[in-house]
Amino acid sequence: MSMRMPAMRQTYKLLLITAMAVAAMFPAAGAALAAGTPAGTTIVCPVTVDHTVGVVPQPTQSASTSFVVDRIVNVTVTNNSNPSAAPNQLNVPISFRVTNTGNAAQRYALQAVSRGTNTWAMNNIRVYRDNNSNGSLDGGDTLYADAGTFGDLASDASFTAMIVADTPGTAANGDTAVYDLVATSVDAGTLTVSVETAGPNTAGVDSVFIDSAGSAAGDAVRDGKHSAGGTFTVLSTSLVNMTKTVLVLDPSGGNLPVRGATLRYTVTVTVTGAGTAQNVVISDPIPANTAYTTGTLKLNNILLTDIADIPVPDAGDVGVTTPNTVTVKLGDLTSASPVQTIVFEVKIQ
Amino acid sequence: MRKIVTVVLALALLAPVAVWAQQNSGIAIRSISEIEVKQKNADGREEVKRVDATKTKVLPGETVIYTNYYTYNGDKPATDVVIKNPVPEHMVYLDGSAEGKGARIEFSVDKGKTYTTADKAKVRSANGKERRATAADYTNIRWTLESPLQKGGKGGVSFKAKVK
Repeated sequence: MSMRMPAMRQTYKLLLITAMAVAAMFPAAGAALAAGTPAGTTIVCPVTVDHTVGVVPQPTQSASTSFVVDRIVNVTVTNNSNPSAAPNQLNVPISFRVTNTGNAAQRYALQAVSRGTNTWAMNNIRVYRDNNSNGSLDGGDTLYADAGTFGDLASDASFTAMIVADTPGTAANGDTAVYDLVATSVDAGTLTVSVETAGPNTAGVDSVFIDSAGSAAGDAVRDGKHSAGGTFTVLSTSLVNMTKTVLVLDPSGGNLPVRGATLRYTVTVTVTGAGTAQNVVISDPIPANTAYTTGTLKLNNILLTDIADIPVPDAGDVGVTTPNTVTVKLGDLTSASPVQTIVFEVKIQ
Repeated sequence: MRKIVTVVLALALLAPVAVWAQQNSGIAIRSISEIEVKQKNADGREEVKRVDATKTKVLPGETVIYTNYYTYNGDKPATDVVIKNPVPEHMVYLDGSAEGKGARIEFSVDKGKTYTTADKAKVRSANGKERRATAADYTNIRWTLESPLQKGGKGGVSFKAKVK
């Protein structure tokens, strides 16, 4: 019996993963739609009437009436980030979210537009879809060419888009430039900009624009477009950026944060902006209710000793510089330095 | 002169057929769906007009008015006249909107298996507790005419529902 348990657990986990995958692919199925009943749905309402003559029930008479739900064209663009950009820095991204808030699949024509009040311009302005939604440009992201590049977006679905640009060398510290991302609704499967149905109802599915006005010049209400702005701010000094992720490894080979599970923390450090960040030291307290796993501290995939500078000086220690804290000395870093990756493991008590 | 004779003859032939149809059809029912739109009338004042839902734009969130018109052509009075509508798929019943002159109005929360008046309708929630049904729980509506229909009797019953 005890032998069977792991097999059963594994089956359960697989089922769960399948269910989650299905839910991710079809967010609309079964769930209440924010954008409402899909365009083109025929809503039928049948009626019946019964009656009795004398004591004899008569045959049921029936009729029905139906209509077709028309198409709402609505799109929402929101800004996710306002980056700092060093002079001459390449590929600085502003991140946006584009959401189809209509009740039919749509495509979008995307455009990065410089705000009229800008006194200087970024160079080499492009639009990408941020395929891993991490807010930075990497190899897997898709360069926008036309409304067909990213395909159709289902009702209620969204994606992350980025305006990516290079900072001119002449930009001075504190300079700002605002760019709007404008999304224009395009009919699914085509490159035809969506048009509102004019005049009286047609037999087919009519289109109605209900979008609100966006931040870009000329983006009015009910024009099938929406936009949001983001700001590049020039920073000619350096800025240290850190991200921290955790991977949970439980004793049964799963990813449940149970007692005895290992938490593998990954801290990445980069420097943006101009100049040098001197004597960068990263300190990260060991979380409460966990204990550091001896001999797991690594910098850029090389093991560091847990003690300070013995037997040979190395960059890290655990609990020596600061009690119950991981300390790694990274020295001087610039935006040209490779990404610094610190990894260590703790166990849940 | 000959033409007139022909017409009279034709009418005489048709008459029995018409009577036969009346006796058999007994009650007739017709259903329409409409939405209310604000329009400016000739004087420039805004007025609310009902427009056939099949001939106008209907979007999610729109309220649709369903009206069932009945006519009775039977010779003997019709009793137990019951008209039934489901709340259509993709729609939610609008609270308090069902109307019907001289009709008892009841609702079902179990797809028409049982009907009760609005004040008695109950549903069981996920935790097994019974609670009073709300408009969103209604699956079907039933109108029962309180008095028999005589030959030529007619009327209409209606309700409103919102497109989800």
